[in-house]
Amino acid sequence: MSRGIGELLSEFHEVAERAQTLAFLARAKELQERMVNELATYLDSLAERKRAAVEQSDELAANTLLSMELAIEVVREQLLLYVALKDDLGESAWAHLVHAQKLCKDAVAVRRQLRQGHEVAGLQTLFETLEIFEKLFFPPQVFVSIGGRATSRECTICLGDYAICDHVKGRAYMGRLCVTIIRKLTPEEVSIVTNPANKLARATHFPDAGGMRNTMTWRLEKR
Amino acid sequence: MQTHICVAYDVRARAREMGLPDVEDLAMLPGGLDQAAEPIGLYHESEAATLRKFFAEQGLLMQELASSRELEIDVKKSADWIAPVIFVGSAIWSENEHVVSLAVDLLSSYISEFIAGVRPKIPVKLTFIVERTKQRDFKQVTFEGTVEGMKELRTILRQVADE
Repeated sequence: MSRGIGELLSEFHEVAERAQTLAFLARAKELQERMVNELATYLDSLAERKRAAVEQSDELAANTLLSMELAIEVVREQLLLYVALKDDLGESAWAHLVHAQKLCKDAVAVRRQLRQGHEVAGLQTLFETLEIFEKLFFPPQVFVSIGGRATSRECTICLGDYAICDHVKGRAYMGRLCVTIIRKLTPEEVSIVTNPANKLARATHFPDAGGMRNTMTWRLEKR
Repeated sequence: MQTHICVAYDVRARAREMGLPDVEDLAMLPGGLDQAAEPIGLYHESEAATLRKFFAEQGLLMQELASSRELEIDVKKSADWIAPVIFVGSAIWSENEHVVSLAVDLLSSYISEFIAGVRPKIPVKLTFIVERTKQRDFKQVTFEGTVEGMKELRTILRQVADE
């Protein structure tokens, strides 16, 4: 299996390198769109191989494939961000940026878990770049966040009560990242925050000149 | 790196008032223990369960004063990481001193692995309540800094305990 993983990693590096060659705003849009589609196909193949690893109970292979999936998805979201900006779709571009940042964090978490020489420096640099893009390409956002109390959380690995299961949030298990789902939340407050848990929760419009001003594009839209 | 030290509330007395078990020498405290009028006012910080599990899998069993199923979980409105308050009892220094070093090391590992992630120099805020060995009163030690700065924490906690 180690030989198989070696070949897999070589293929991954080759695909990632070709994708990263196009990961600049100035690159041709049609080439970026083509690469987005190619990466989608490649992600399907990684998913298939991960399914096979899971069937063989090969957790190392499954988690290695998860790590690859996450890294490829980061680059794919980055390309989609550029395409959206070129298509004058500022809100869509913001969503792709946020997804890329989240995937970057997940990719680093899985790589750290794998250790064995898996590098995280490149992803950390990419995250810093994405943070610069946030300031450079987009206006300052007003983030909204809900705070409250939850009575329970569900573990996405075992679907059990996270308080008592053995899984640790943020860890990869057989190719899947453990996260928790809040099932019962009593909201206590809605606040404007500067460092939100979810950057997609933002003020999108405000009333202006008889219409609704889009905070991202600044276009005046109908009520 | 900044460390703030101030007087803390009597953890053991407050735990008794809230109907909680006797506090052991290394414990994760529920939120609101300092001011809750009744037990329903207590809660777990959102990452308390994850931290507890991480410690346990590394061989450190830290007392959780109220089980994760008994208290509500505080859902944060921001991405800032709030660590649960950790209590360090006076007897630990004579009976199990290495456990404090282990706890600080594991906390550092946890932050590096789960919190720092893409931002290795992210500042964190950690709060400990230390029971002083002679006076048996309590001091709160708040550390603000990066993971690297945590190397001095064990020494600081010992100094506060022995003052």
